[in-house]
Amino acid sequence: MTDQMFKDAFTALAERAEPADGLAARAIRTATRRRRAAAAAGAAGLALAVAVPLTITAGGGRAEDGALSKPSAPPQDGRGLPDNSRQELALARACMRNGPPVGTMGESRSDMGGAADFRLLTTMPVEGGRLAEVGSARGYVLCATSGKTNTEPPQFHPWPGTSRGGLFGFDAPLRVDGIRQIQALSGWDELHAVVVGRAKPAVTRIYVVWEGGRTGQAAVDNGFFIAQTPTKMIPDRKATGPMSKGAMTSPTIRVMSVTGYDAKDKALYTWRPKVRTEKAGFVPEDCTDGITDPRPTLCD
Amino acid sequence: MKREARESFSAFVAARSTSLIRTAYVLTGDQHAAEDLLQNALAKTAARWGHVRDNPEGYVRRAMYNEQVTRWRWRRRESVVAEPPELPSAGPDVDLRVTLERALLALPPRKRAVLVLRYYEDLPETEIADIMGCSVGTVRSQTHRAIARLRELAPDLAAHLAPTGS
Repeated sequence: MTDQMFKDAFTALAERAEPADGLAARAIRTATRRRRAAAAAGAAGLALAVAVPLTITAGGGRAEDGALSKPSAPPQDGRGLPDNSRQELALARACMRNGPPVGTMGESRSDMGGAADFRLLTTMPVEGGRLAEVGSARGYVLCATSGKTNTEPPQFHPWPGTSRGGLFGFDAPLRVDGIRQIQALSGWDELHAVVVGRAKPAVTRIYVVWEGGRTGQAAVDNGFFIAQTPTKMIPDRKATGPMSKGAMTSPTIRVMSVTGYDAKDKALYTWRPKVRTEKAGFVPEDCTDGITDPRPTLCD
Repeated sequence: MKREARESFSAFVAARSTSLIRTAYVLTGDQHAAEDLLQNALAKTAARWGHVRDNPEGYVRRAMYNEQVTRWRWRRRESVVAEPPELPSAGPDVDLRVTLERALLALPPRKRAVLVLRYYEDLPETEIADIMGCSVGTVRSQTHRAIARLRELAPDLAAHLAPTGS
C-alpha cells in the first residue's frame, strides 16, 4: 500500500514539471565558463592574492640541500617513477600537504592513486624553498614548497597524452605536461611561470623560451623536467564591482618553445604549442572534458 | 566543446530532459528550483562528457541528488527558520494523495530524496546508499525517519503509512 501511495504521489508531483528550453546550450556555456574560471584561478591564485593573506615562508635564501638537488635512483629504462629517499618522500608529502589526492573542489581523486603512490619527480631551488613536481603513475601535482608548507592547495592532474607504453611511451624525444603559474614563496605578489614535462633518456638538457625572449634551463631528473621564469601579480585595471579596489591579476607569459638537447648539445626536438590558449595555461583536464576545441598540443 | 561532443550531448539532453526535469521537480517541488538543479547537473555532465557519455543519465541524476542535499545543508547554515507546511486539516473527505504530496514537499530534502530514490526511481538500497554516499543502514534509518516525519506532518496518513514503508 505504502509503495504505491508514494509512487502515485511522486508521479503526480512530477507531472507538474514543465519542459525547460535550451538546457543543453545553457549547460555547455556554464561548463565552459566554470572551466575557464577554474583554470584562471589555478594559474594565478588571484582570489588568494586579493583577499586572503597567505601563510608562506618569508624571505629565505636558495635551498641547496644536496639530498634534494637530484631525486635519487633513476627509473628503470626511464619508463616509470623514481625511487625516493626519505627526504624526497617528505618533500613529496609536503607538496601534497600531507593529504590524499583531491580535486580543485576538494573532491577525492582516488583515481590518481593513494598518497603512498606519489614520488618526487623533479625539483629546482627557488627563493624560499623549491619548485617541485610530484607524481604517481596516474597523475601529477606541482608546488612551491618550503618543505613544511606550500603556497597553494595541491591540484592533481592526470598525465595528458597516451598512457600506452607507460609514462615514457610517447613518440617524440620530449613532451610538455603542464604550463602553469604558481604562487612564489618569496612574496605574496610573486609568481613562477612553470613548465613541466617528460623527456627520453637521450635528452640531457632542455631550454624553454617564453615570449619576450626570456629563457630558462630546465632541471631534468629521471626523465622529468621543470623550468620556471619569475613573474609578478599586477594591478587589475579591468576589475569592476565592489571588490575591484586593489584587485590584482597575473600577466600572461606565453611559452614559445621547449627544446631538448643531447649530450653533444645537438637539438633533438623542439616543442611548440599549436593552440594559442595553451601557451599561457593548460590543465590536462582540458584534454578529456569534451569541450576544449581545438585540442591542445599537450593532449597528444 | 567539439562539434561531435556538442551534438551528442545535445541529443542526450533532448532525449532525456523531460524525464530529468520531472525528477528535479520531485526533488525540489518548484519549477524554477528544478530547472536550476537540472541546469547545474547538466553543466557538470557537459564538463565530463568524455568520461560519462556511456551512462550520462546516471551521472546527471547522481549530481542532482548530491547537489540538492548539499544545497539544503547550505541553506540550513544560513537559516534555521523552517516554514511550517501548509497541510490541510484532517477530515474524512480529504484526498489522501494531495495530503501526501504536500507532506512530501514539507520534508527536508535529504529525507525527501531518499523516498524519491526508493519509491519514484525504484532503486535498490545498495544503489541509493551509493548515490547518497552513506551506508545501507543509513538509507534504511533515513527512510524510516522520513516516513515517521510524514506521519507527524499529516496524522491522517498515519494509518496508511507502514513504519518502514513496506
